Amino acid sequence: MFEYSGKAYCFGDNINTDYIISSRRKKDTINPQELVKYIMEDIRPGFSKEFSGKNILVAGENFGCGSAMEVAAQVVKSAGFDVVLAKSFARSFYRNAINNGIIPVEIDTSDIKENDNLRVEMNDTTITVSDLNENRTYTGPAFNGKVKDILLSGGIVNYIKNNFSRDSHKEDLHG
Amino acid sequence: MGKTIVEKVFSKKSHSDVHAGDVITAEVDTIMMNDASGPLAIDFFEKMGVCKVAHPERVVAIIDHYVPCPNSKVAQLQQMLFSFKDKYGIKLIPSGGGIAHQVLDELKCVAPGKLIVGCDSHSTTHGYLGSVGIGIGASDLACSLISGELWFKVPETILVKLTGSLNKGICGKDVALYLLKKIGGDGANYKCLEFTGSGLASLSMDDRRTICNLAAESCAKCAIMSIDDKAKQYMDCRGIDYSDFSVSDSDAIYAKEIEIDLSKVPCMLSLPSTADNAVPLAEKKGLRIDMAVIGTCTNGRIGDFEEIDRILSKTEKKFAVETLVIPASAEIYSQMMERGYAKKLIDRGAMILPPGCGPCCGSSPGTPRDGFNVISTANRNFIGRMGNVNSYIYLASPSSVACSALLGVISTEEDLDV
Repeated sequence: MFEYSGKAYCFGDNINTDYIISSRRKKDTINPQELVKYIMEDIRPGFSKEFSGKNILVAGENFGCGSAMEVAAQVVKSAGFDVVLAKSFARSFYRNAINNGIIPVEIDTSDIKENDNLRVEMNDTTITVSDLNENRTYTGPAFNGKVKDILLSGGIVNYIKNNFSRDSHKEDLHG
Repeated sequence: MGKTIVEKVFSKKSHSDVHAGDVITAEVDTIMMNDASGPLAIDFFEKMGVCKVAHPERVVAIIDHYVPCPNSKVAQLQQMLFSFKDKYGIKLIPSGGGIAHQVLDELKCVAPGKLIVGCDSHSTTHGYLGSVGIGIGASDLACSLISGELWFKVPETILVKLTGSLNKGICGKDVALYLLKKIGGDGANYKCLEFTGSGLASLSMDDRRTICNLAAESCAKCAIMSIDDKAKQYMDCRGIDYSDFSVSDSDAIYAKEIEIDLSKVPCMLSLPSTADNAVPLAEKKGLRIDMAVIGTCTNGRIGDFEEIDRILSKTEKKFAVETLVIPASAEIYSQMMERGYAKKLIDRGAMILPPGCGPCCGSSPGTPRDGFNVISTANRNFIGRMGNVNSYIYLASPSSVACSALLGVISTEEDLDV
C-alpha cells in the first residue's frame, strides 16, 4: 500500500517546533520551500545543506513539542522528510504531520544511526521499518479510519477536496 | 461509568455519550486565529476550496505576535486576516488589543463548558474558567472554519489534587513550574490536566490562568480548573454565565492522580532550555542577570503587575538591567495606568512595550544580546526562543523576575531587605 526509502537523519529527545523552524524566520515568509534553508538551524547549523531528495527524519521522545505552528510540519515535508520516526510525538505535531501527508511512525529509534538506509512499508495492518545497515526491523500498527484516508490522500487539503462538497455542508468532514 | 469534566464537555459538544479514547466530531464554540498561524490557516482554507465559514460569529482573529507590524512582508500576512474578515464577517482585534488568550477572555468567550480551539499551543489557558481550550494547527483550524466542528480523540485525564495553601511570595507560576518538574515536558501528552482540591481556594484567578497556560509545556491537550466559590464569585462580578459548569463524577476514571501540597511549593526557576528543567530558585541565587522580561500570556495580567508593584514599593531601587514590560492586553495596560503601576515601572527604568506577545518567541522586538542571561515571566526558554541562540533564558514568577531585575542577580523578595 505504501513504500518509502531514505537515509536516516537523527535527532535527540524533545525537538520542539521552534528548533524545527524559528518563529523569527516567519517575519520574512511563511513559504515552507523558502524556510527549508533554516530547518533545525539553532541546534544543527547548516543542516539544510546535508540532505537532498527523499529521506527520513529520526528522533527520540516527544518530537514536535512546543508551539502548535503547522509551518514546522510543512518545513519537514518540504525538506523531503515524508516519514518521521520517533519514540513518541507531541500531539500537535502528530496531527499536523498527518494533515500535511507526513507519516509519523512511533517505534524505538534508539539503535537507528545517522545515514542508515531505511525502508518503510505499510499494509492494511502493519507498518514495518527496516534498517538495512543494522539488519533490524521494527513494526507497529498501521493507520486506520480517517487518519489512513487523510494520509493516502496526501494530506487534509486533498482529503477535503475529495470528500466534501459545498452542497453537503455537514458531510462527514473529519469525523 | 462516571465521567471526567472533559468527557462531559465532549459528550455535550458531540451530542453523544463519550469517554476517553473515543474519536468524535464536536461542535466548537470559539475559533481563534492569530497573525502567526492565521495566514497559513487562510491559505489552507482557500486551497480546500469550500469558501464558506460555517459560523463567522464564532471566529476571532487577533493580531498579537508581530506588534506593531515590523515589515512589509508581515504587513502582507496581516492583511490576509483583514481581507478574510471583510469577506466572511469574522471578528478581528487589530494590533495592540492584546494577546489572543487574554483578549478572548475579555470578549467573554471563556466560560465553563465551552470548547475553544486556537492555532496557538497556549490555548490551554482557557481552562482556568472551565473551558476546554485546545491548541491546533492551521489546517485543523481551516477545517473548523468550514464546518464549525472538528474531530477529536477524547483525552484521558490526569487529576491534580491541590491541598494546603501557598506560602507568602509563592504564586501560580511557582506551582506550574513545580508541577512541570514533577511530570516532565511530555508528562501530559495527549491528556487533560484537571485541577481540583481544597488548595484551589488559595489560588487567585490569575494564578489559575498561569497554571493552565503552562500546562502546554507538559504537552497537555487541555487543562481544566474545577469551578469553586472563588471562580463563581469572579464570574458573578464579570457577568459570565456558569450555569453550564460540570464536575467530575466520583467514579470517573483517571489515567493518573497527582497530589501537590501547595505549602511545600518553593519559589521555582526554570533553567535553559525547557520549562520543565526547573529547580528551587534558591539553588541559583546570585547568578548574573542581564535582562528581564515581564509579561506574555503567562504572566502579563493585572494581578501580576499588582504583585510587581508591591515589590517595587518595598524599595527605592531602580532596575539594574534592561527590563521590558508587556501588558497582556490594552485593558490591562489601561488598568496599570489608572493604578499608577505603569508610572512606577517607567520611573524605575523599565520600558513598556505594546500589548501582545512581545519578545517571547522573537516575533516582536526585544532581542537579547550575545551572552545575555535573561530572566522572564514567559513560558518557553528554548535555545534561540527570543531570537538569539547565544542568550540564555530563565523562567520565574513575576515577583522573582522583578527582584532579580532590581538586583541584577537571581533573587527573591527576601534579598531586597539585605
